[in-house]
Amino acid sequence: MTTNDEILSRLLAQATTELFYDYSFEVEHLGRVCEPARFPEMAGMIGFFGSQLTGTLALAAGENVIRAQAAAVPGVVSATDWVAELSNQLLGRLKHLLLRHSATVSLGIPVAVTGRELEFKSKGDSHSTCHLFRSRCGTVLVWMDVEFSEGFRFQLRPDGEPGPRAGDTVLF
Amino acid sequence: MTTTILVVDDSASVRQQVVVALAGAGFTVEEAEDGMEALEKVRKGRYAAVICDVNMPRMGGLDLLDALRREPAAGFPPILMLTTEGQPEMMRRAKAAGAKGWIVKPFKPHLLVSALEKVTKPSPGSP
Repeated sequence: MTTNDEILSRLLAQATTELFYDYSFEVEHLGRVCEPARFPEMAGMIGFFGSQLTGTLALAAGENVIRAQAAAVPGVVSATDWVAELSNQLLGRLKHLLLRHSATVSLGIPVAVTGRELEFKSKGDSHSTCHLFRSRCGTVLVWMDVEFSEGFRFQLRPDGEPGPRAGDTVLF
Repeated sequence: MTTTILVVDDSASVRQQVVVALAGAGFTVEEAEDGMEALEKVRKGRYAAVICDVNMPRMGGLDLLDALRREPAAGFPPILMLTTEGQPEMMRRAKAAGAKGWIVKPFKPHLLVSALEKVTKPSPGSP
């Protein structure tokens, strides 16, 4: 039986790969790790909450990776602003995938964090998951700390109403 | 016809992306960092349309829609939501509050311009 943790990890990897692909900056999922070999220096972080799960997501990389990715996006004003927005967009994609798995979350406001060697730690009784991705400029790390409500299990709802996907335009 | 667009987003990069996308399409763009600042600007200015994020500090996009509905004197320009969100419930709320469309980030510049042209086109019979 697939656990909540496994499902969330798969969706997180999918959302990350698709996000970067849409910006023509491909990343390859290297897998789940306990901790990265090299700690990043820049991260976008955003919280989320809902009746089924609550937590925090971080998208982190070296500043050179964020700058290289941003170089292909007209209008980016700074790496810190952009990494925060990337974490926001990643969580938005994940939310879309979660809707198909009977989970709804509300998004917080993203922030950027910079430092020499950023480490992400679980606050205790929550589940944390860390995934590494390889890009042409270096690794990207996506970390998530999640607390599931007691008894909650993801359930695939293929007939659900997931709403528009990234890039879609709907006029009313 | 006014061709000034107000873009409302807490990310300066997203605001600038919109500026770049609309620069070649004949639109002038003004910026606001959140719904509160946008509300002040709409009260004072006249915009052909507003492009607005949903999740922002102080006042989010759905609350901005509600605030504008409560203030008819401020006017109610066509509003396109530009957001990472795609939750149908949120879209229904935005539509009921008077939004004209919903775009999920990352946006495609030509589709944004096309959507703006549609919502800013004078309706038949309007002065």
